[in-house]
Amino acid sequence: MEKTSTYWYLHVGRASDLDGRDRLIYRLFEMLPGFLSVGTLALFVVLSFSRPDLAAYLTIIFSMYWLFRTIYLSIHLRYNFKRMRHNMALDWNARIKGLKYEDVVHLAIYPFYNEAYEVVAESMRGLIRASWDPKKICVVLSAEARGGEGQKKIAMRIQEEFGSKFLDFQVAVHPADVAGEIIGKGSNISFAAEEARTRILQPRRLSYDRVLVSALDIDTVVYPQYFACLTWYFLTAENPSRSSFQPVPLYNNNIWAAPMLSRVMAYSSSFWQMIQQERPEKLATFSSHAVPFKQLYEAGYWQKNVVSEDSRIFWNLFARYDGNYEVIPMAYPVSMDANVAPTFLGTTRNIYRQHRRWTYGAENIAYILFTFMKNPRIPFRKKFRAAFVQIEGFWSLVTHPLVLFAVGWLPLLVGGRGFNTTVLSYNLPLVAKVFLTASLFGLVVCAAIGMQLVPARPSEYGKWRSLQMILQWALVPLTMVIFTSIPGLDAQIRLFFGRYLGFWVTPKITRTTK
Amino acid sequence: MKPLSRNKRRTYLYGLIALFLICLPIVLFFASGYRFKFGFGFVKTGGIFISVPYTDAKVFINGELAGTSGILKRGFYIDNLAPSSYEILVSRAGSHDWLRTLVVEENLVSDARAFLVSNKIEAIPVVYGAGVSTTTKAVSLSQYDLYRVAFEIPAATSTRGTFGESVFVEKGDVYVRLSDAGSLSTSNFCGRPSYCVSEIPIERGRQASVGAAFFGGGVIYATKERGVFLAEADIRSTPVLVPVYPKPGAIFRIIDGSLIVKDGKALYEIEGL
Repeated sequence: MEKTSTYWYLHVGRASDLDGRDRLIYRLFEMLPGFLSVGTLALFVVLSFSRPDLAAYLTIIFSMYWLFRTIYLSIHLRYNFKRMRHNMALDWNARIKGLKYEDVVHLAIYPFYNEAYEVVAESMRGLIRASWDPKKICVVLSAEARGGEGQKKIAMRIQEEFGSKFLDFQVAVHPADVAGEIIGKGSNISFAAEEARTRILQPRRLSYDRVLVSALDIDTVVYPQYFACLTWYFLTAENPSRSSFQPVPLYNNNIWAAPMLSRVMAYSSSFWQMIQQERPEKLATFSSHAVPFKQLYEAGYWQKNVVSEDSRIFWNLFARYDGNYEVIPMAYPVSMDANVAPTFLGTTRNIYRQHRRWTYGAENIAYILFTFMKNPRIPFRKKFRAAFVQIEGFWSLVTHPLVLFAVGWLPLLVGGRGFNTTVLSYNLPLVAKVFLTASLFGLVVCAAIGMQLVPARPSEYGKWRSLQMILQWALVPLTMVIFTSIPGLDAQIRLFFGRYLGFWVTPKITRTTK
Repeated sequence: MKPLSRNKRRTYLYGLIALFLICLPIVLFFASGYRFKFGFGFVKTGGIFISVPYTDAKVFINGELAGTSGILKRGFYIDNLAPSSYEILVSRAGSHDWLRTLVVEENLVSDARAFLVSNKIEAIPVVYGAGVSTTTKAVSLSQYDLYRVAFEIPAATSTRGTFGESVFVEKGDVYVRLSDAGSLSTSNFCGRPSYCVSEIPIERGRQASVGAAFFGGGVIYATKERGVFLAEADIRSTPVLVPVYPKPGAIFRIIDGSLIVKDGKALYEIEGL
């Protein structure tokens, strides 16, 4: 990697992109999340044998912390739910009336690979249904050359069918096997953004700072007021040129068709994003998000050599603008597909892989620490806070469920008679159970909010299906371990050993409900 | 509608942190067995855990009913006990009462497993051929011969139990010993939680034991002078001792999971254990 510009490090993907001391440091940073998580779990195991009393105290502290954390997060979740409902009921077009919005153009980029025509078409219909003049929306549909002729045909068919309705519609075909890229969404969407610049923005002389890019997963169906809402946030932001915009990802497209496990995971992801929406200082972009084109261009678009390009773009911009960059939560949803495969086992496998990809966002930790080291213009307080939030976030994501539902109980099994005759050993399950049971109220909050977010039940499903929407929350302790902690640990161990993960495209198969 | 304000969030956060920090020492002290008693301040307490692997058994501690066992209720944990001795009684219709004195120590739990023996132990004569009576057990000739041959082979002088303990017959006495004191996993070797031994005498006295083995949750042994008995292997006071076939000269073998007693030439299968 050539160190010719001030921000030469902006698109570092992994340690092997660097050399010398930088490479070693970056490699150590890559190892950090795995080291902390495995170290914590190993500490529990070692303590369970050597000092089971200490391990038991830690388990009790963890379970107590879990309850307080649940209360704290539930407050945020409930508030964001209220705010989102409020925002969904607002007429955003009326709100922007007094603002100078006429020259704002939306650029919607849809990278896709192997998805069926119907999935793409439904996303386009969503754009047209939106209460925003489609003649102020440009669309880039970016297929992968690797996808073959079939993908190009789908793209051309979509262009033929929907192209004329928008200000501009371009089909891009991202070439395969470009040096310096990994196979994945980042390289495709980055290519599409540059295509948009040369084929749309330049010919039409559109001002980069008035073009808002919505990076949308191919299954993203926007809600009617999405563009109006986004425009309002853009125009009223304290510093619009230093802000990205994050809608709430709901997975409502096919939620009724999705199996219970998939629904729980989908809502859990949405709820986590809703909680983060009320904690904007902890928020990074995720999945479908929006960003001003000018800043995107100046940062060199999304990274083409990472798996988590959606969150990485925020850190690219944060480093590029010396810490003066933020994510503005929109508290307004977009809808995507929940994970559904033809078989239950297939769904299970897909959920695991999808969450491993998401939790592979731990790769950002090395990037954040490295760029913070290289960029002295970012205030130390901002560096410390951002690094702490990310490191603690990925550490707790992996360790807390595993401690509470697995290794935390190890002292009872391996503590030996010396520990097993103590009052502490008898009280450990009793006390921890009290806190964990009390934490279940968080699931009640989730179930209540989930029921209000779910779209109307299609006629082919009976009341039993609705009841399942409530009962499904009993699976959370299981899903937290199997589909959050373990894939997270898997991802962090891969990073630790330098067995880097490639991008895995979540198959989009079913679309039966809207 | 504005996002949750920083001030509100800080209030929630600091409020919960304060509550957490206040609760934390209380919870940890409670979990360790500390209790606050007026006039005494914080005192260290202990507890008792009684495992009752039977249904409909009543558990009393110092004469007070602690509860009744059921399909889902097999364990009784009584905490907040001052260090002292406690009399435990487990009674169940149709069984001998089970009595135990447990010593409770600071921050420790004394545990025991109730051992209820039916008070209807019957010796059913074993005969071969077609059954002639409801009071006998008819077996095939080959099975009967199997039983007889089993008694011709000398009884083992030691057998191994489930938890690494073994029962020994030495010089006419019966002991249960731990092969490895470090592997101690049950409390029956402990007079109190903090003091354990590695040997429990089952029968040590004037009588001469001729065989012993683990059976039915206890130790079955035979003496020349008094016959066959079932004893509980527990170092603490008043372990269970029940006559199974109290006739001098009777010996036993465990064959295919059944307890068979030989008295003279007659064979009996023991039922009710």
